[in-house]
Amino acid sequence: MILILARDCTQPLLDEIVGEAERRGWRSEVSRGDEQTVVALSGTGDPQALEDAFRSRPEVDVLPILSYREYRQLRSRRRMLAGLASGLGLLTAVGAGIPVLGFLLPPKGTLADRTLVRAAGKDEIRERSARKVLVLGRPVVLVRLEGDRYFALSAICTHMDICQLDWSEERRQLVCPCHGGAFDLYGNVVQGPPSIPLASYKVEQLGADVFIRGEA
Amino acid sequence: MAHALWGLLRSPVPPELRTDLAFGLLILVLFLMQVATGILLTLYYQPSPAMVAESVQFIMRDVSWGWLVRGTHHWSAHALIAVCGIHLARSFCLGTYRRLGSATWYASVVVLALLVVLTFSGQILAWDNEAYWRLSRVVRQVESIPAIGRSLARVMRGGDEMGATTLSRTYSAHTMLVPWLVWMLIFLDTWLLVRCLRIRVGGTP
Repeated sequence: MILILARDCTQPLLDEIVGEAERRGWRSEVSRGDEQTVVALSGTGDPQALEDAFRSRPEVDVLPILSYREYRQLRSRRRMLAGLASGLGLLTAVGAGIPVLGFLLPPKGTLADRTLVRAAGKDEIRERSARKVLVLGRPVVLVRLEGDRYFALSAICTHMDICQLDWSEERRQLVCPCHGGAFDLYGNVVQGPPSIPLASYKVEQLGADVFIRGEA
Repeated sequence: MAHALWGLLRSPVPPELRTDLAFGLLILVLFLMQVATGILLTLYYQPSPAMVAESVQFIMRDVSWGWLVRGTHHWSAHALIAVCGIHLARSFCLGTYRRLGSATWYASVVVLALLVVLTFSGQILAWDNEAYWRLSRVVRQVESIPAIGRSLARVMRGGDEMGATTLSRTYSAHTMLVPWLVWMLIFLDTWLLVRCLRIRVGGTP
């Protein structure tokens, strides 16, 4: 922005100042006082050329408040800060949006009855065999006896309550990898340190799928 | 509306009110977070004594990011009370509340009281043992108010005994009645502030 001050300014002089400035690409705003007239200029013209144009006129003072270079530096700094701020805003929006969208989607595998979780298809397990599944984050072994007789056992060894049991196909037992404990298909201890049989889960068959109740 | 908001954002703030404005905006942001996470929680929360424990468990364990949404709702509620308290204590001790007129001050005090009510009713919504006895103690205290105490306690319980109606009343107050009151007071506060700043700054924002 540039201020032009003119002392005892007559109308022709004022017209000349405004005309000169507008020719050089400035927008002007005139305020007239008793003794002094101030013309405030804003725009993107060259301040140096304007200063030169009125150098020979002692009654006209040209005061650049901010050089165009300084103004450009300020503008680019402001743009950079605005860009950084909007970038951060966008990042925050995405960071907040992901959990919100995830929250809106209901978790998979749950029915209207929330404790019932799909464990496996009926034909995925052979007769007198078992399969380990995760039910609401807890390891469970789904056992199939003959035909459509299913039940589920907790797959956590009762010895330390921490190790997960694996179904061993050749031994036809649930085997604990930590201390060698083993359980039969019904959850009874056959070998090793554990002395308590496995807890069981309720199982329900709906259509072609077997569901397990989440609570033991 | 957008024009007015932009003008408000661009209008100069008296230097001595800048910290107050920052606190006010922080309170607004925290309250917006409460509204957003609260709306999300109502998607899964079920306000009936038989289902409440299970639905809260479901949110915390099975819903993706459920722990984050519930945790944010819980902790930003406490942050809201703390920030509001600091804000009011600060403007009381420094005397800045005088500059904005008494209406703003009273509205802010009522907002703080309503926020305490919101936090309390939110804890009741968990409907565990602690929540149950906490509420029954408060209801008994209300009951001891002379003349109107008994009727007031009946209104709070929704009957002569604590039960399902008490929970649904608490739920209604926590999600409908009190939040809308807080919204109205926040709007009143903002409006008073804008009016006051316009007078002080002397220009149109």
